[in-house]
Amino acid sequence: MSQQTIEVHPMPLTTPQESRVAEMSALDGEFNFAYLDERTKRMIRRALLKAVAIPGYQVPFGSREMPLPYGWGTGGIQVTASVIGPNDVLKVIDQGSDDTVNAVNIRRFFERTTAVRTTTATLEATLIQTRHRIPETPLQEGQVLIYQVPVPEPMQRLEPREAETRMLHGLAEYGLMHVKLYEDIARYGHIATTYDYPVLVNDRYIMSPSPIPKFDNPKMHMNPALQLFGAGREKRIYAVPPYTKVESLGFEDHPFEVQRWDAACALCGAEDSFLDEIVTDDAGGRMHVCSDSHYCETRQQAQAAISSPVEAP
Amino acid sequence: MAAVDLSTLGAGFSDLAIGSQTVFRAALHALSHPGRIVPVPHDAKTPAAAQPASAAILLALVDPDCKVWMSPTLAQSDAPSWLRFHTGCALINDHRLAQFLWVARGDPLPAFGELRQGSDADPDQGATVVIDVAGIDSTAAEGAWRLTGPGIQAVTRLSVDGLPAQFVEDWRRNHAAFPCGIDVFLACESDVVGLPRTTTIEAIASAALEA
Ligand SMILES: [Zn+2]
Repeated sequence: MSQQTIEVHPMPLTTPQESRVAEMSALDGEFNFAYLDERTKRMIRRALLKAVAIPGYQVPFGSREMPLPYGWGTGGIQVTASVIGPNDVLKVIDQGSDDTVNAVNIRRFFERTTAVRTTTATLEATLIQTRHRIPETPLQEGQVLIYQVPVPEPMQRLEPREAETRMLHGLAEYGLMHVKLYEDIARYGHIATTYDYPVLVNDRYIMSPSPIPKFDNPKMHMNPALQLFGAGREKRIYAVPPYTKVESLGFEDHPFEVQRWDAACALCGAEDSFLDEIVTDDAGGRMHVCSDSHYCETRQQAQAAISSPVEAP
Repeated sequence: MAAVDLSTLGAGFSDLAIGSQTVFRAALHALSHPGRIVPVPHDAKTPAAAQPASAAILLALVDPDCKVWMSPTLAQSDAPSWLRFHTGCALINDHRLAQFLWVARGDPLPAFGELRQGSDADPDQGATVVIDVAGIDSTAAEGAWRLTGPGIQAVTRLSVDGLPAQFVEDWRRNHAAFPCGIDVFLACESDVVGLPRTTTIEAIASAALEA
């Protein structure tokens, strides 16, 4: 098994499909609240309630075709569209950033189709749709975090037959998953998986946390917020209720560990956040900066306010 | 089912999309925080035989894809006509086949073990049972339940007026069958309480409360 088959890398920041979402966000005229028709929303809502009742279990749902290509985040968008109401405040992040084309387009799409207020501030949001990160700012009770999921089945690379994996989940037969992680250890001396690192939910279901860095895995555990996951192509919805045990798989002699950096964020100095390495010049200069753009900006602003106090506007 | 004059049926949500969404969010919140009393705001004109909160939840969740069973008091009222008129759901007489069951205050509960449980491979096929009760109280000490499980940070206390004494034992069996099983909403007036199959209910003896 090569490293390539183990690592699940996040998708590139820009995709050809973005123009389709841009078109959608420019929609005018007749559409239902949050774009989806009421039957579709009801179907997804019923699936969501069962997902909450069976934490970590993948509920199949009859995804109506979205005018969006799969692999882009249709699952997350369908979940958000089924949950969102006029009183919600929506935040959309992509790889931690509110400002990427993807995040901006999804935010615009919901502004257009629901007229809800949007925000970049993590604690102001009632709904946060995310691709590949959990915000650094701890979430609170009442907030809903909605993940876009490309591959919902944690065992898919090991057992591609869906009927088979459903049976394995049914029997809680997870030897395969542990063998895979242990092969990592035999080969690399450590568990090489750094994204989409599998978790055990409520001591029962092994679940894919979506391609978040394993750095974020501990945030899922006993989180006061409700966590919902939508996979559009595979037509699966799953959930982690608030205050639910989420354990990253590991072994006694090789326990789960999160990534650490020798560096601090070059912009805000944070030592506790997930850092992206950025190439700064042709000479190969590099720096580390927070992946969570709002967290980083808030820290920079706080520092600026301390070092050069200005009158409030 | 009695023939009902459609013109006398109560209205559904004045705004279908927003009304359904608001009630769904209440149900989602209730199921995410088991045992917590959650208000269900809505403007539907619900059947007199039912608690407004339970009627609103069914009105918001079901559609022609759903088979709904109603307990005798509801089945003999205008509730079946009302729900079918507004949602197009299928009404069935066999409780064992229902996806949603709606039980009026005081009517006997169907045996949980006879309801759709789902299977190990498809536990989401387990039924949802909406039960009207006479009272729900999170402050009363007498006859209280002690709830634990996902969605509950430490412990939630709840006392329910209007459930049969064997409910706690029936629920224990339901919980033990996880991941199969049924999920319950308890409704009183305009409030709802969610009981997902993951919740453990322990009845606290009065003596234990005094200690
Ligand atoms: Zn930073």
